[in-house]
Amino acid sequence: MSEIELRNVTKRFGGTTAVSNASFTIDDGEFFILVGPSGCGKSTLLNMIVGLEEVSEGEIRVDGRRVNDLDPKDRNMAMVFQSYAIYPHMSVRENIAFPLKLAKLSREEVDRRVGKAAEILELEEYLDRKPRALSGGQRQRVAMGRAIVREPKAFLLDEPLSNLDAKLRVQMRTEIARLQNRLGTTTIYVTHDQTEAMTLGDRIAVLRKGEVLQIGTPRELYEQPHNLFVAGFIGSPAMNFVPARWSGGQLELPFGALEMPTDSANAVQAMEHPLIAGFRPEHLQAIDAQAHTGLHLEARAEVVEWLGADLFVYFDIKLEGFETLTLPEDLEIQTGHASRHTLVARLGPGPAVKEGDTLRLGLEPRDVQVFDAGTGNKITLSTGDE
Amino acid sequence: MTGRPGNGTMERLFWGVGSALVVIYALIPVAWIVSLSLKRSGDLGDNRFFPQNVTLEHYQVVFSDPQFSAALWNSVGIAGISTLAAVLAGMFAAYAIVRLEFSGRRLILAAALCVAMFPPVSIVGPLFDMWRILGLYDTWAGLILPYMTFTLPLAVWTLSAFFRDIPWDLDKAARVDGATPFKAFVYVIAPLAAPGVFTAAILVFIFTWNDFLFAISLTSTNNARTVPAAIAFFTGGSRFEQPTSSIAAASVVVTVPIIIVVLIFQRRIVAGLTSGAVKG
Amino acid sequence: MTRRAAEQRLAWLLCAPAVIAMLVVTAYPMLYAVWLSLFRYDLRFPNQRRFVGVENYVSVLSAEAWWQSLFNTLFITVGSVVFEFLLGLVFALVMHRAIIGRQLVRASLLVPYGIITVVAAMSWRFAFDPTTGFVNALLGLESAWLTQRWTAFFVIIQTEIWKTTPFMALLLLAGLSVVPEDLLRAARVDGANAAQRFFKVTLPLMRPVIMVALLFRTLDAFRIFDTVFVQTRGAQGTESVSIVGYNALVTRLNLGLGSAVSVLIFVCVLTIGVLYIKGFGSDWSRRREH
Repeated sequence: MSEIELRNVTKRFGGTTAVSNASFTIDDGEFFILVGPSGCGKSTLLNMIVGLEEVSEGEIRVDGRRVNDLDPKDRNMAMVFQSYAIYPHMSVRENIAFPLKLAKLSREEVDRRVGKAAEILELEEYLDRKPRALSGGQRQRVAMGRAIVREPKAFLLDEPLSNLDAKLRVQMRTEIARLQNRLGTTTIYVTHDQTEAMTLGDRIAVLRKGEVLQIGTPRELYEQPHNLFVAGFIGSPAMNFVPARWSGGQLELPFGALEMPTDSANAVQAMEHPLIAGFRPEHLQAIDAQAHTGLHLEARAEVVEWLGADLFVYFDIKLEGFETLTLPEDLEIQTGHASRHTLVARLGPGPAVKEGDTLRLGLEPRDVQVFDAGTGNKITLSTGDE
Repeated sequence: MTGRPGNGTMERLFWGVGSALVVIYALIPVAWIVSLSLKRSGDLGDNRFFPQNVTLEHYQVVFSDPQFSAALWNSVGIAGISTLAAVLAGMFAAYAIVRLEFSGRRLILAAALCVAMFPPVSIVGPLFDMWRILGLYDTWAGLILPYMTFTLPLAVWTLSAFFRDIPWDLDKAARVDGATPFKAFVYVIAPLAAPGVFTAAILVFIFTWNDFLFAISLTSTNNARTVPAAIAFFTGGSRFEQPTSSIAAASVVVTVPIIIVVLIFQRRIVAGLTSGAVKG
Repeated sequence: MTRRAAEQRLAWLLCAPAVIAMLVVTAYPMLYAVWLSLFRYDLRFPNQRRFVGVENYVSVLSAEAWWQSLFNTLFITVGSVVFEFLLGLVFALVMHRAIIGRQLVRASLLVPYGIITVVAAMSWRFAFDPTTGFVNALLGLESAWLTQRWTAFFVIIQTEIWKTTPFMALLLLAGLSVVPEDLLRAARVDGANAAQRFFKVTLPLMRPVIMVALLFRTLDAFRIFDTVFVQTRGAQGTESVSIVGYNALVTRLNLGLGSAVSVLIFVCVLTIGVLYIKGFGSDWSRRREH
């Protein structure tokens, strides 16, 4: 049980900076997520916290005590590796008992704790097997078992689910959440998968190219992203982005103009750069012609995905008079090209929409977020933000 | 080539007969030398493949020959020490190559490759001269040094290939689990590396056990003369009898243990032989 | 930076025994051989040692014996490597395709690998011997194989093939298993017959492994010594360059002349190696990238 504090933590490899100036505090018992595309420095950060990588600059403190120069073995943290890192020459029991043996615990204590961990993780019948006789999910549990058995100060998990198939991944995700609830141990979890981040984390830190872009609860990140990258990275399907410009007191989009709330309008007005407007798929709603106050657009459904509880409709708009949008490549969002820019609307399951149908969709001004196309920073101030 | 309906049996038969031919071809000389060693001296000229009457007299001759037992002892000792030295040095180098960032990696692998292709006869003369001056001629050390050097490439390459396959994450895991670097090595890395080291040792041993050129160039007496040299220069129990049977018996004695070892560890040996070339 | 420097130091320290051994036992003697080759230096008359420049090379290169042994060596090398490769490919296919007895085939192939070359050479010598052997009886011949040049070559080459084909076969088998089964299925769906699949898909993918195997075996075969020594001692015009070198150095104790032969052999090996790597250089570097 402990609080982990990072102060201006920086890591350099030769000439490249893997992590720059990371500062945040992970509260005691918190489930904290480090998320970002590959190469963003999240694993490096984790390795520095556990002591496998040296910190180039800055400090890491655990319960107020500086641990920069402490060997991993003296930090009493447990780690689950992406590859599980199960010792192939030891049985499941020996694997789980390994950290306890190194800590020179008595035999009875080792047996008691291994038994308890095995019970929690439902591994009792596999204790005498060798790892190669286990399935992927079972190996995952062994790795978890080796972590919890020590009753460590913190759990560090490095992409623990990425080697499992989709179904097992969802199942193990719930199990990890339940386990963390039950044990209440401070947990740092690294993933590139925003769904995992959103479902598991108390708080999430979004990293990109070594920098912490934003830290917040899943809801904060979803509703009030500070910049284009966070907005596009969090949420599935991703936020819709279209090029935009300020003209005649209105925000002009390729498919119409919007009146903006006054404070947002003031902020946007001051901008010189080209703009990008973003809105979530669920903010496009099917409407009747009259009843709606915001922007209307006609959309011809190109692809319809019916998922039972949700209906996703993909449609194309024309970008006449607007520059083609260039989004950061690491967002991996495909918007099409100049003549064909694809957007998606998330509709309720009610209306039966077929491919080729024409829909009327409405968009409320308050749901539109405006970003500076140059810096990616958000310009509009959403309700309740700051 | 597989599983077309109708000719499955034919195909099976084809590859089955193929397998049988390969096995026979591989085993003929061994069976032949065993057969020769068991033939009575009088039957040697009967031009038959199998012995008509079996006798063990040639084995008695071989084992009572001081020259042969000295050679056997020399071979075991020299090959054993060379193997130990080559595998140890190879292990250190392979670890550095696989695990450490340093500028000499390619250089050392390239140097090893060069030594692997080096013609031993090119340095027999200089070594002969150097060893004479240094007093290493006709000693164990005089053979161990070149053997160790010429098997280093084999050791470095196979060990590097094996070490590359060790999941080194485990080392980190052990460190996080509370192990010192030394304990992490003893409990986790060493047990995983052992099979590879063992395989390299077998390959190196076979190589040194087999050498002939150094053995006849750098030795002159029973002091350090090894088995291949002894067999090639075998004079037999008496100078007037043809030593064919004795040579055969001696050959069987030094061949059988190696074959048994090779067969027991065949899976590993195949992996060791090919890993360097395929993964390179 | 200090940590990197420390790592560098540790790495060199770990490599030191291997590097020192290679320097002391191969690099230095090789240079010493070059030095010796410039002297008239006969151990039977050590006092007459004197510098003669390239005279030794002139006498070696103008001797017919050298050129004949070079031809012999190349003949044996090409003969054994070509047949080994073809035979090795067949063996590899047998092991790759055989459902039953795969283990047995692999195990028996390791026997020639494990056997001492001198013993193998002895066994085949006795087999082809007209008095003790069975080959003549088997073939209904009355031939004294090792007393005539070309039949002696046949025995020598076939001994080499027997001894080293397993190595080739195992390497090629490993190369075969590198070819993904799905690729062959895809080729089949695309309409390729068995031969086309083998020549257009399997062989090109095995190319890097084949190159390594051929390079190693060619250089190894070029050094042939044991088999020739045991079977003919170089008689009947079957001397290999290694035998010539050995005779000059160890039998006749003529270190100057023998060293010249040594250096020339080294140059030959170097040339073969360079030719191979030049010829297939692209493969080599591409493989290193991995």
